Amino acid sequence: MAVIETKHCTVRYSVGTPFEREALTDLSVSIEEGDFVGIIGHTGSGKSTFVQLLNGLLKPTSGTILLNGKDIWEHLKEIRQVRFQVGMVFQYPEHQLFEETVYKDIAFGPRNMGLSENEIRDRVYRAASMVGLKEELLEKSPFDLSGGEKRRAAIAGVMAMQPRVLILDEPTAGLDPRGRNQLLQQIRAYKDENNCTVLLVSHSMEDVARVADHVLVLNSGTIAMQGTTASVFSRCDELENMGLSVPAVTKIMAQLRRAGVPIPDAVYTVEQARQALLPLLKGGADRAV
Amino acid sequence: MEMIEVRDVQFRYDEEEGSSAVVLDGIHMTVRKGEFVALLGHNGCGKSTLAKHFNAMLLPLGGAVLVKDMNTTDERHKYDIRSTVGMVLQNPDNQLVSTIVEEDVAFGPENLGVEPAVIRTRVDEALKAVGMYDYRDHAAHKLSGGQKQRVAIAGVLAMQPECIVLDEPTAMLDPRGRREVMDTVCRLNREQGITIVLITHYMEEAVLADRVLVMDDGKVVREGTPRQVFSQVEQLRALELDVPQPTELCHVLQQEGITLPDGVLTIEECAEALLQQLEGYHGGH
Ligand SMILES: Nc1ncnc2c1ncn2[C@@H]1O[C@H](COP(=O)(O)OP(=O)(O)OP(=O)(O)O)[C@@H](O)[C@H]1O
Ligand SMILES: Nc1ncnc2c1ncn2[C@@H]1O[C@H](COP(=O)(O)OP(=O)(O)OP(=O)(O)O)[C@@H](O)[C@H]1O
Ligand SMILES: [Mg+2]
Ligand SMILES: [Mg+2]
Repeated sequence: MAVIETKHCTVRYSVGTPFEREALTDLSVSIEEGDFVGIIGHTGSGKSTFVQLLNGLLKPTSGTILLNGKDIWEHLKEIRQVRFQVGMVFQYPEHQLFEETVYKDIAFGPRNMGLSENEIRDRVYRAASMVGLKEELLEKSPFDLSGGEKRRAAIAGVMAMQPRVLILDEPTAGLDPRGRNQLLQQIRAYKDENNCTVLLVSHSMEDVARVADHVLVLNSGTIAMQGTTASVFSRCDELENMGLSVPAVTKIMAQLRRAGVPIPDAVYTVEQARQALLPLLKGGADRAV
Repeated sequence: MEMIEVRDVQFRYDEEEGSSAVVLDGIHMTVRKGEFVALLGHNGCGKSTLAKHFNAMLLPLGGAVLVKDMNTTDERHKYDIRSTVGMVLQNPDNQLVSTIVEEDVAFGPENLGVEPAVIRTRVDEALKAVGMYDYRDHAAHKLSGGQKQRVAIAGVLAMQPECIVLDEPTAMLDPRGRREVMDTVCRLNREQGITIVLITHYMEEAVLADRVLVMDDGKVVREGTPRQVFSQVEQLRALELDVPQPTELCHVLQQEGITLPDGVLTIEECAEALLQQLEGYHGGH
């Protein structure tokens, strides 16, 4: 069943000024409950605009957005409820930090939801550990954190609300490699445990390849591709023409394939490449003896 | 004379002894003129703090930082140091000062007292170099994340400094934008001899540098060419870092007993190494 649907959504910014710009054009998309969707697209293609529509932060110029089949803008007063159900980690989420301490910042969402102090505490510590934020930083001012630490604090704040639909706009930008891997694993685990829906906007093809089940490709405000991760990353040339790419391993496999090595189509993670190559390489060693 | 020389630098944000953690703990490093250095390290290890010492935004509490032999603590050199070392900060929103894109890019050279006519050409060139010329009369705060980041880079390019420090300049860019910024950086370095210090969490970008420095908890703990540094896969992982995907693929295959060269860095090198290994297999037929 679709958890979120957009129907013919168009978004125009700065209407009536010389800078009027159509960021999304007649976009109709349906996101299935329990799906993990990666969203990729060139800079300015409309990804952030798109995800902000989904939790009611932005109202479309025309078109409708359905959450569990209901128009989110039908009753203005219910938009707050939409934001509890559809949690959003913004691009540059560190701009949303504002409390005196990191702890209070992460606790802000759960507190707004009216949870008990114990439950709040529990969720803050859980969320902090999920994003790999060291406990000793919880009493620091969020403004005195490093770039990557701020990013983690902001993500923890949304995870602590345990939304049914979790949207993350470039969450791993600025995280160190271990932080990136950890966070992606944690998001995946969070999704699998709660059977919720996740939308991940990212410029890292490697990250999307690792965690997403489906991929949505935006190009100049329209949907250019939509499909399983394997099917999207098999269209390397088209992606490159849109300013995108495929994971480095996928490129390596393509070069081998061109040289006549029988490599299967859908290889987009290091693990898949290992599995595809080992029989060929080991076979070679045995035969050479 | 080195471009930047860092001698036994100590730094903590709270100056009171013992009240807060030491952020830079005896840093020793140099950046030679014309060199391209990549600075790596996990979140919070002190990279941005160190970078801010390179143009006197922060001053060491112990030790010294010299920019072309000018001590950063010497007030008289502040202007020369700032025009020698240009800095692209980690968060472009903190760097955007004007409402209109081209005014923002002109801000730096204006501050340096560059003539208006010269500023005009510099601004145009800088915006073209980052692919934002068409947006020159747009409102800076309404740009997308990646577009803002490119404008911030143009702002520093327009100052034409001898050395550019870029703190995670590609964090919000799409793959093409990342490639374009890295091409721009490499071109400035190779063709114009501009010294580059690049802070990044993308290992495939660090591969492009002449030398890689790895920090951990306020110290420089590894130093070498990209090939030397990235051949130590396990050591890097212990420092919460990683290696480029082609290097990782070779590493996991080596662990399965496949013979492959150490220090493979790029897609091409990896494909070539694998093809060589596979030749035995094909030859066998
Ligand atoms: N508030 C605004 N006013 C006017 N134009 C805007 C505004 N916000 C975004 N835009 C424009 O709309 C387009 C889509 O922007 P959006 O932020 O959705 O892109 P994006 O795909 O998220 O890009 P990035 O990958 O760089 O974050 C861009 O061209 C941008 O300049
Ligand atoms: N203004 C500040 N006041 C107090 N502590 C700070 C301040 N800025 C940074 N710190 C602390 O100093 C340490 C180093 O921060 P720095 O920003 O240099 O790290 P970094 O290596 O650039 O990390 P990242 O990869 O996340 O950007 C961190 O532990 C951080 O919490
Ligand atoms: Mg965006
Ligand atoms: Mg930093």
